[in-house]
Amino acid sequence: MTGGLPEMIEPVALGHPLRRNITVRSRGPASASRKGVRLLGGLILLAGCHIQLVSDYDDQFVKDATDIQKEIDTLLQNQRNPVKGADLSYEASKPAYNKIEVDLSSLLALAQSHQMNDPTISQVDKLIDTVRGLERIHQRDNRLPPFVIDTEQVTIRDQISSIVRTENAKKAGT
Amino acid sequence: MDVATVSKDMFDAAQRAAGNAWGKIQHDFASDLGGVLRNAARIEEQLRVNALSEPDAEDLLRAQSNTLFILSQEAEVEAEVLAQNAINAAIDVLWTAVKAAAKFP
Repeated sequence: MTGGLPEMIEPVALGHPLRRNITVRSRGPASASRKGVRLLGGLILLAGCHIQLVSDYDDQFVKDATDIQKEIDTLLQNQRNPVKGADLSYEASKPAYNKIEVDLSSLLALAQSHQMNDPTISQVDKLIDTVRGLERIHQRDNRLPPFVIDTEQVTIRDQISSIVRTENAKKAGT
Repeated sequence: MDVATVSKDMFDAAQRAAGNAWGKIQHDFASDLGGVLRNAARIEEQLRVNALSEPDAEDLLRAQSNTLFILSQEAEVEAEVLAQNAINAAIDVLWTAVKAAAKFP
């Protein structure tokens, strides 16, 4: 016991041979104020201690993804139903692909700017891969076959819908 | 390709992977999975009648595979949000109980 201090500390050796050097301190009621301070600290920590497993919802991400959907729809619709005399070759469509590629790259950067956002980053990576596949077909064939236009339009629409739904799901996180 | 068998196998695998989030995503997933299977069957058909080149078919099938991956990530996030909310609700209960025991306002 320490003279003058209100705290009662009694070292107690534990009986188990493997714990011979361990002591515990039994505290008297006088340590209540220190305990109170610790408890208060713990409560403050606990109160702000909500865990986060997924990133926060990003409204701009949804808007940008929806804009990219419109750009791709426009590109494919112009291929499906062109104005008279329109050049449908890959070279003529290259500016549209370049614009889409830049916008997808910005979307990826936006996804990467959030912590705990790996699923969304992977989704955008796969969307980019799909759009590059479309561009490869156009480059190879110079004209997009109607079957490719229909299939890719549905596929890319499904992919962007799922990406947007994933982002919207984050709104439900507490 | 036996679309019915492949469809059932994929649906079962997705259900196992989604766990508790399955009920929430089941509808959208079933619809998108149906789309992927329809596309895959059409690609196979076009390839068989030589209306599609092999490299084009490969790129189109790769896109279907990307769709499945994107759907799997959607299921993962849904499941994580459910887990996050459950843990945070438990923390809130603990906080309330500790506060009441300590008689804090």
